[in-house]
Amino acid sequence: MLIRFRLNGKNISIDRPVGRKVLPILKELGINSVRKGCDEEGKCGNCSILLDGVLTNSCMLLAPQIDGKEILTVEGLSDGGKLHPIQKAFIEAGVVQCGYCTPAQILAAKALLDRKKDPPKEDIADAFSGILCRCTGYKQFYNVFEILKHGKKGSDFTREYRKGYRIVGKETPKIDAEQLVRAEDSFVEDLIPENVLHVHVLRSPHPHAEIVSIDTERAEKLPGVEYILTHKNSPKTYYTQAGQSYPEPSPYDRRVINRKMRFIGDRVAAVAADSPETALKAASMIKVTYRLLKPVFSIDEARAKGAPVIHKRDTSIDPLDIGGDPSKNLVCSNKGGIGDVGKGFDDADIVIERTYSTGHIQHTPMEPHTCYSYMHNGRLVIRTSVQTPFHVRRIVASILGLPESKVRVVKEKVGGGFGAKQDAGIEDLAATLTYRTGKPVYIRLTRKEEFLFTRTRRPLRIKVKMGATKAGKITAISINIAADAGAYGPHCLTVPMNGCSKTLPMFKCDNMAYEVSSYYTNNIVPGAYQGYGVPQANFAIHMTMAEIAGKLGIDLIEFIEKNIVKTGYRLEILKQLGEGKEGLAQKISSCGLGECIEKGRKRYRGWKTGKSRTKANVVTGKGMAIMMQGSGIPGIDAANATIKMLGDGTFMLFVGGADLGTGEDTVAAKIAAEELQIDMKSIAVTAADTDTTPFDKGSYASSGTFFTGSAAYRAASEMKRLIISAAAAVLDVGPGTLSLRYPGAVYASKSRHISFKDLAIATQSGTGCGQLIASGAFTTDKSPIPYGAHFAQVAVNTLTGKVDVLKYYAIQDCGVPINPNLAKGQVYGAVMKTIGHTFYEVLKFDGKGNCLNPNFTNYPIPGICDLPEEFDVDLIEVSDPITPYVGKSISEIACNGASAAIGIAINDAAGIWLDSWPFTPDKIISALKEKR
Amino acid sequence: MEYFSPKKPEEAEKIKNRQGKKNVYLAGGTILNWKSCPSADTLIDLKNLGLDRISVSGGRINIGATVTVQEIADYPGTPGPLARAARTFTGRNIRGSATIGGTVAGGFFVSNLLPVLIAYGAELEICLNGRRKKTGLREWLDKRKGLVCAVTIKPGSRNVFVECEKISAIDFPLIVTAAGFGLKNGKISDPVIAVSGAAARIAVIRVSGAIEGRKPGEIDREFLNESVQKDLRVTDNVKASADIKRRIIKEHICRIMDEASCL
Repeated sequence: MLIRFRLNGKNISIDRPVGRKVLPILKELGINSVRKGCDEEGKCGNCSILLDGVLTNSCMLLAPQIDGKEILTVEGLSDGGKLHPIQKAFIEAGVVQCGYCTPAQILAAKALLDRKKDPPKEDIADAFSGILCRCTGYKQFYNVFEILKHGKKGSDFTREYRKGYRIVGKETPKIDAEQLVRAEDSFVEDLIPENVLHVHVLRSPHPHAEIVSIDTERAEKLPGVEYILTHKNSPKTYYTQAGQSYPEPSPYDRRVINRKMRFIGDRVAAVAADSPETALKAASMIKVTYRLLKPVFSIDEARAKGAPVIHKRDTSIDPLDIGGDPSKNLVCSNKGGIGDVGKGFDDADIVIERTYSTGHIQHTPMEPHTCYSYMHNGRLVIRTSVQTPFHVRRIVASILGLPESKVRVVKEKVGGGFGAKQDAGIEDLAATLTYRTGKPVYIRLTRKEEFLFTRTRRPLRIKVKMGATKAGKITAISINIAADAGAYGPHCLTVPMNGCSKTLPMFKCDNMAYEVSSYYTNNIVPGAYQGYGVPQANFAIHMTMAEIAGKLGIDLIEFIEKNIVKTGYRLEILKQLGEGKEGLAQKISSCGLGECIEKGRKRYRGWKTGKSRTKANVVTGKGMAIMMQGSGIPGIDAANATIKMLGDGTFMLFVGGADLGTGEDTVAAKIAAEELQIDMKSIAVTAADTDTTPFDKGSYASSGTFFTGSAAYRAASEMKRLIISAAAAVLDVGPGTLSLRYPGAVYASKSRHISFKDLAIATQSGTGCGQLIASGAFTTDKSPIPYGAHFAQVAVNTLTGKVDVLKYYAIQDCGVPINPNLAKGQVYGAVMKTIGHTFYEVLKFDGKGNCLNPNFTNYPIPGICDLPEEFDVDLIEVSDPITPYVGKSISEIACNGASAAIGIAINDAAGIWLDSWPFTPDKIISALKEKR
Repeated sequence: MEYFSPKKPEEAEKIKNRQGKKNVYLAGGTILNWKSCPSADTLIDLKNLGLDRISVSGGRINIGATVTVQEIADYPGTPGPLARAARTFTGRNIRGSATIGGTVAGGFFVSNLLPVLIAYGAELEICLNGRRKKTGLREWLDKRKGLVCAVTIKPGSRNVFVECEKISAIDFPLIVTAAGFGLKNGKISDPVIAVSGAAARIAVIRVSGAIEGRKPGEIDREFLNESVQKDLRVTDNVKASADIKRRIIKEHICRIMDEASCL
């Protein structure tokens, strides 16, 4: 059918099939901005266009529906190099994080402003109501309109930090924001040429089975099929997909394709063909015979005597001793503690022991996993949306038996990671297929695959025992975490260990014990997820603590304050809580926990509780929680940076860190610019390319700001030294007399100085000392600990079991907030995510391993209209002696409070204690019935 | 796939009735294009039928079948309960495409709008076997024959109330309860309660015995709730149990009667 329409002001006339969707048509026309975040359910809104001015999902339109119409996308908004005011306002407000949904959000704002010049708050919420974002938490979208209509600046929405600094702690645009608001080529999907092979993975319909025979002959003959990978021709290397530093505390328990199937969805075969349709058709022609094995779906079933064994020792090899025994389905175990918990419980006036549980929760990054691999000059190149490019290079090289020099991994823009993309979850397959065929391969998961075959938050069963005196002193805490590892073991030890190592050290208690274990089951595979076990464990600790405080008649905040650590406290427990090896005891270098609590308490006190005067069956209550996280993993992780002075005295900074949209590249650039006394425009960043940037462990474990930022600081400090040394030679003065001055010059005195530009010319000339290139490496045996306190007010409907979060206040100690608005945005995002986890986000199964809700229709996530009516984030400034520009981590920690604060608030309102996520109406009604 | 964009409903219906082929109507596309491309032999685009207007005449509001849910929400003459139902229907992106005709024809079991339309006693203008005719929405939903051309309500003749409960704001509703009745001398007449989300079909319950002939302020909510619930089939789904759905319906009935008491 011939369709004619106007696209971004240009007349288009094309012939397309009637049944073709508009989203792929626009992609064919080079429109990047229509992003596909759901399986064409119309739920994510990331593919939005303005169709005759109306915000519309392009995934739900057929070709004839645009005939004769006018389409606007963000590609048509900017005027050449000049950004549209809305694009500028998004950057100014700091709401561009990963940027995957940003084009749709910009169009939503435009459609609204075209209708109303000064829209009220409810219209703003309505305008964005159909677009999901997992990074920002939506709150700061309101600031965009304040900027546009009232001329406000980004700095009007946050205080600025670090007096005396020009850049660190001040509002500056995220350095990649412009490319994202323009929807320039950014994500893997923007880079795919026409001639790639598409992959369809035939997956196991059985939770536990062995392949007896597999016949691919017919499928291979189908025209367009290039290669079929099965267990027969799969590389034989055992490895872990976990993106962790080597040697990983995760078992090497899989091949690219195994003969044994261990969950519904395990890889049976991968077909590479010239189109997705051909790959799918060929996969349907593969004949497989299975020998069915009895499955195991719970921890209890897995550890029962005589339980079916899922892995054998020779197919589950531990690079480190993680205490596993596959013959008992035990993937790993660890225990330890300090003091004498038995005595501690004896000394207590009250002891409470409770068990809590959590399920599979999906990260739902708006951009699914995508990977594009190809051969170039005999080398394997992988362009991918991943958090750990250097780990991926090592894993892929190991699988294929290649030296790392033959593999290049480039992290493109990542449309949300949150831990889901920490592992080599699809890169192993894409790389194998490319290496075998010599051809480019593209893998892009569907939303359903994203839900089921990537990673989830780890289901944990957490037993907490706590004792306290009548005076409110905690005398002993023990925590026992049993984890469902699913079919394979990535992060099996470290997630439950983190649940202990980021909760117990908040308390100055002399007697603490922990025990963790993970069990193989035939469930889907959990992995890393923002918070990494702490949201679950912190919930368990707080619910127990609140119950004790209640029984003792002590106010929860006072109870917490009596028992928390302060600056200078030595955390002996951390020596026990390592990650596959002994940890490092640490003295707390700075602790803003007390200040966070105090700041929140003032507002919290004013929140009313009790029966609603206007709504029958509604009672309100309030609760709070404290939290900590780490800033990277001292003694294990490492980061490096290199900085080069360019010919005009500006700089290129090369960091291996993988910015996931959180602003890590911007953090590194700001720190270097501060140190070198230059503007942000005088520094550019290249990041996360294993060929061109130095090694970095990647972005996980809350390490980006501290590790990558500190590597950038060290590289900049070394550059400063080189600059001074070179300038001393040029100016013929002693280096001790020189200092760097803004904007980019070296001064001996008022009359004796040299600009960076002149210095660059001098050093790079034929008689100079050569280009100034400095490197910085960062490893450490300590890391500054971020803290926080969250406060929630809820309304519980005792008839329906529905709970609304009315008010939420989060206060974080992230050291020095380097990008204040971006940092706050990450807190808003983390809180909204975990409000979803608390109330409704969970994957449900039918008892036979089949998932019932792997889509956004049946697994809803929070949207802008779900924001609490009062929702604020404040960052306090805390100085820490570890580095001059101390950015503690910010994003992960903010996941640790919502369910605890809300759970306690529900108890305050309705007198019930909930012990498992999510707090569904059914569970609340059940608890209310039990109470009665 | 063949494509037609007829100019008259009769033409559209004729194409739809062609034997031996799978022929489908295309309006907003939010049901037809959900998840995948439609598998059909013929696509009958309704965009040129001139059914995209809302008009008011003689106290009646006539809503063309291809009017979108957002247009209903924005139209100044849309009565409050219908506007409210339209505004809370999932997100703005969907509301801008989804049509009233598609909502009716799809018989969408978690619809925000259908219970309200039923409570208003909405009539449909349909094209059936080449002829235009009028039929009640409730009757039509049982048979679903003919092309829906317009939906007509007479807001002044009935008092309508609606309540909606969702898991998250962008989600389809878990339960929508709408109640409608006339008032004669301050007393309730012809009461209807419609519920979507309880089970796979929209439930319509006549509650005459429980409330007919009484003043809204005199209604015993418990008795009314029992009357509704005993005739209501409610099933579990992945989002909530039947028990929770029944509790929500009870809550809705109480809220609706609280509001009705103010009449």
